[in-house]
Amino acid sequence: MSEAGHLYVPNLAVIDRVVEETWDTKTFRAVFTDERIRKDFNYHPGQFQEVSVFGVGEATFCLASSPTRAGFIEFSAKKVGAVTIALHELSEGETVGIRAPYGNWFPHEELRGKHLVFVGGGIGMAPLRSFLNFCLDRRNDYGHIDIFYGARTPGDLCYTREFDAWRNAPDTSLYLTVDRGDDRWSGKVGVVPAYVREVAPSPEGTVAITCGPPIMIKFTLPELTKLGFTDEQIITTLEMKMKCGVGKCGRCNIGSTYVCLDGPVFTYAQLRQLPPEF
Amino acid sequence: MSNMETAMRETAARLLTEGRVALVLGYEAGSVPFKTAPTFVERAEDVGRLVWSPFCTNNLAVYLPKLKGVGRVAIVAKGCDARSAVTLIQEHQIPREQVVIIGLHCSGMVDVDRLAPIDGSLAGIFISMEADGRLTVASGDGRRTLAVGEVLQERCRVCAYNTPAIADEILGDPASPMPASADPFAVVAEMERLPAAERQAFWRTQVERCLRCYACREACPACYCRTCFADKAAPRWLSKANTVDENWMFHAVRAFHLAGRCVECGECERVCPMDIPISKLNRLLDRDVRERFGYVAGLDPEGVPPLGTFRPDDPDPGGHEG
Amino acid sequence: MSAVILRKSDLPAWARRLLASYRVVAPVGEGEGPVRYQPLASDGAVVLDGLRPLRAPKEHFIPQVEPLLTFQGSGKAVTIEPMAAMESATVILGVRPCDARAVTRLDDVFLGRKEADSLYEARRKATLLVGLACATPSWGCFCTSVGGSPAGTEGLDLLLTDLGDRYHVAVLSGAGRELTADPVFGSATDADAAAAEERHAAAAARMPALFDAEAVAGKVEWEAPVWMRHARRCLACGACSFLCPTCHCFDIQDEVTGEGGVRFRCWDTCQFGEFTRMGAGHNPRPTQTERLRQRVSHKFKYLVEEFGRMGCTGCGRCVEACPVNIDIRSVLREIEGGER
Repeated sequence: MSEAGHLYVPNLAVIDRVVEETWDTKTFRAVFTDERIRKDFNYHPGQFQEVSVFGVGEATFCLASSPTRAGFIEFSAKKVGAVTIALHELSEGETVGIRAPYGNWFPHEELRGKHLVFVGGGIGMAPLRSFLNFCLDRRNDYGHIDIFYGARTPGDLCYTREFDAWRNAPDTSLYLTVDRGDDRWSGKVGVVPAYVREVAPSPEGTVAITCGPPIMIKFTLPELTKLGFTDEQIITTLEMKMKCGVGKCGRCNIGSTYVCLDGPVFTYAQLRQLPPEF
Repeated sequence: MSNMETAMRETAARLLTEGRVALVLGYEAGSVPFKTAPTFVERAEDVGRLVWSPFCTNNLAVYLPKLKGVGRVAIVAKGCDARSAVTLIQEHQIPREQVVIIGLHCSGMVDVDRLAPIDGSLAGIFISMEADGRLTVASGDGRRTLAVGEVLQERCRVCAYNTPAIADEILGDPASPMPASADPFAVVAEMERLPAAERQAFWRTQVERCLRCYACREACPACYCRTCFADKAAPRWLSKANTVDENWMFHAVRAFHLAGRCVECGECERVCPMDIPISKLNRLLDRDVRERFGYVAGLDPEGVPPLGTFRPDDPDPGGHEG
Repeated sequence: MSAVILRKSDLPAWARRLLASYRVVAPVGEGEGPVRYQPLASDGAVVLDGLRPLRAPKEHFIPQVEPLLTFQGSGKAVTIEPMAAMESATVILGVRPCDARAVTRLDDVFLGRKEADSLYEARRKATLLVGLACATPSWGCFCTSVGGSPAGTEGLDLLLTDLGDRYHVAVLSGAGRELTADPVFGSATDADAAAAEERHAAAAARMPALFDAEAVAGKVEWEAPVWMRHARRCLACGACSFLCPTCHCFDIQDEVTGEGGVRFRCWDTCQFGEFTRMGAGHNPRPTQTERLRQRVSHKFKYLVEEFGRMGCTGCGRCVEACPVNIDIRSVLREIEGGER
């Protein structure tokens, strides 16, 4: 999206807030340095970006903020490799590069009027948070919203500061669970798929949107199916190793589908058409 | 050679049928007459795939660490391959009792580049082995018969270990010593006669061509690190950009990582698509290790490579001032 | 298609005159290592006989290391400078038909898929390809099995055919015609054309098609023993991909130099273990079996689904370079259902 030259030129952005979500995850808020880009930058929930620490490299992150909240973008990074280690060492005021927005997005127009069930695990909540906040900012456009969110332990839950806003929104229910509790946790203990089974949201006029570790997805999908959700009623966003983000570097293909171009958002019906390599 | 093949197949069948091994690592016919391919035989009825010829150049020990979990493995091993297996045993990559070494007396492998076909191409070539062990190379435009000794790989010409130093079974008739085995470091002496500036220019020209395809590293049984220093991202030791400086760093550091562990099988050099004479570097360091530590890689399963250990009486040329 | 004649003895003069207006890249015999397409010096000698060069000219369209931008400073005061696209007019001499055809496959990805890559586009638009018909196949060659030919013209501006003391020069484009507006070129007769045809037929006759590549696309199966059978011995090096004239996958890396540095892209390969491995460790292609399946399926099925044409031109370099004799022709024959 940069006019200055070729496809791989980032825009500069300054980190203006860092929030420690968990022991290994931080959420970064960034503001484009170019005022015009800051004003004009637009995106849809579900799209992703390539964030770079100059001198270290680029990595792929979903846009974790909602486009309804203008003037900044956010991404959440788990410390797992060279770039995320470098990101975690950044403080407010430092500059990163951002190439965005890439990929497709949650079909928020088509989902208007529907009830929504969000099912997130760990840092998989990041892209869901973008769409969730989008929906809550346009609350009347959507029906009942159920949010299932789980993590291994209470200390692994992200976005805890927003839980009250979520659970207190009109016609919205928040179901939190952890695999293992601790002595301060008084909430549900158990895996996310089991909680979904227990609450049993109705598939009538509903779409489920899920993102999380492969093991969570693997056990959530059958639960949703058993509840009566069809493959077209289940949407997910795939995490794949990506580099260029624009369909050139050849890294993110599943068969002849490029996750950076045709995804990362797919319905389960679409995923079933793809070779099982993700 | 067909006696050797028969013996090899019988041995493999026996080991598999008796349940002594779960898999036999050997060579099968390649897609063209002058190549063989590494093969994994798991059923006795498949041993007919196994072949033995002067084109069995691959060092099969490279697969041993990758076959952990399969069970006990038999490996068809030339002298160099057996030494590689020993290195892996020394370094606890495979337990001695998990590998059965089927040693072979070896008279050397053909350097395919020296087959010098008539019109410069090996396309459509036929190769047959005469009863006297010579090779007949035939193509549309003619034929010629030559002795394997005329077209040996350089690393075979100077090899002193063509009888496997260690083996559970040994096949074939004892082979004669290789023609230049008395002076395996001639190529090192030759390099050292050049002034330093010329040597540097030589190596810079060579590594300039390096693609960083890592064929050399992947073909090497001693390069089994889960994450090679060249691939580490944090910290990043080496750039992925294949500039002369970065390429030289890769080859020099890899050579040092192999010092005292390299068995000079020469596979690194054979597989290099850019014809970089990689094993010259390994040979230099091997000579230095022999001279300073009196140690030869891959001969004693109980041995320890000198650069993998420390002794207070280690030689220290030059001392603290040096 | 019109044609002209160039006497072999006039080739050096023509090359020197080209050098006045173009950067000329040609197979240069430098004495060390395999013949490569390299920039021609004014006193350089072009090697236009023998087998196809070991390296393809793809590095002149997608360099192995290509700077994308430089960056300076840190903290709040970071500036970046994107690299400008290359502009210098270039002629690549002696391009073999398989390699020229391969460039059109790179076009599909870099120009055709979604947005054009402007860095690639600039190089591509500035470059003319002068081909050389092959007389002798190398042992790995199989262009005739994938719809190509040792005298194929796809992607070329001119095609030279060696007639002994002279070249028959087929003029294939307006730009090619301009290159032949030089006094050394004479007119070609019908006899010349017939001689060239004869050479082409003789070369093709040395390479009967080994399989029906178009049929293969429909027969590629996800779960099939063919993958593991061949991949088991794969060493996961990059020899096949880096020599391949159509392989184009790349990585993007940063390099620090002093107070700033450079971001570049560099060749990468789906054959390396960490190609698809994510930061947290999950790898959708965990073993060589999946990676070989990706390589073959990408070239013979996925690219066909996307662009209607294969991502392989049968140059045979992967066949010859593979340290463990994984021969893609054998893989394809097995998929087709023929003998192994």
